Amino acid sequence: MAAVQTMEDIFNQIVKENSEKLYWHVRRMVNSHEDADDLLQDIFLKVWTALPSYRGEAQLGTWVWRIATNETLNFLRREKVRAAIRLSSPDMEMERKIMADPYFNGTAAEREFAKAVAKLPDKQRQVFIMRWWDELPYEQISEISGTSIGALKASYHIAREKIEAALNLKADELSK
Amino acid sequence: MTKNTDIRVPDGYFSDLQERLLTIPEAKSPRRVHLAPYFAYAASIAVLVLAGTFILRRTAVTPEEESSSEWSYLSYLAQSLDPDGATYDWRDSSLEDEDIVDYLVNDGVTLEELVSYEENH
Repeated sequence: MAAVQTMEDIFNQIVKENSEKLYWHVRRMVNSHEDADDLLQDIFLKVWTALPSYRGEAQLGTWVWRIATNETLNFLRREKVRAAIRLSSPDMEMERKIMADPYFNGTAAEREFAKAVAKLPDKQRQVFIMRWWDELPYEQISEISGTSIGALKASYHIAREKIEAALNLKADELSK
Repeated sequence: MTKNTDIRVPDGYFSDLQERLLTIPEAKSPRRVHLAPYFAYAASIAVLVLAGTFILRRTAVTPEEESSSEWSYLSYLAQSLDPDGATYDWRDSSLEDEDIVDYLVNDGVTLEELVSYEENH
């Protein structure tokens, strides 16, 4: 006879299967280890409180990612308000975080790449990060975001072009 | 470009993270929350009332208050945008600037409200 899974069992399984993957996604979105850590706790708290309403209409992993991506976009919205109150621009704040990140381990080129990605609009950046770093298939991104695969492919393509243009501009500046 | 090698985490971070996340069920028992339709109407009305309150509060600050040297940019912003502004005098607040920013952000001030505030001041 199969053992009955409690709510805690399901939650523990979600944490074990998703916490690390979601950390990297959130970290790329917010560009700060501390913010990613705080946000992860909020996300999993939300997962736990919403778990009784999960009806199996989507794969559990997809449902968890949907909560995580929505919470991350909400966080970024609040950060924009914070930047506006401080009379600063969100782009500048993001660049400051990338430059000041004590856990950044990469080359100067990788830092420029991260800065170029950070300049993308939030939803486009989310799609780019889910493809480029998280390596999620378009089908799953479509289920998470509720966006058609065609629109996602277009968004990813445009994001790559913007990043390339930003990196070329930087290379031109450095060569002068 | 290699992936996820340019950023790192503190040593032992992921096992610590999992341990912390696994304590969530002990701290919070999940409750099923269903918003009845009339709650949705009530929420809409509350948003309208709040929007009206914002406008009234903005106009409630007198020119004398506006010209007072004790108004910092943030305290004036808080007094103008905070729905509890009428009951709390932000000029006399001993809060640090960062606390005022946190309060406004957590209180749900939107970018649209800030843009509108900037346009009107």
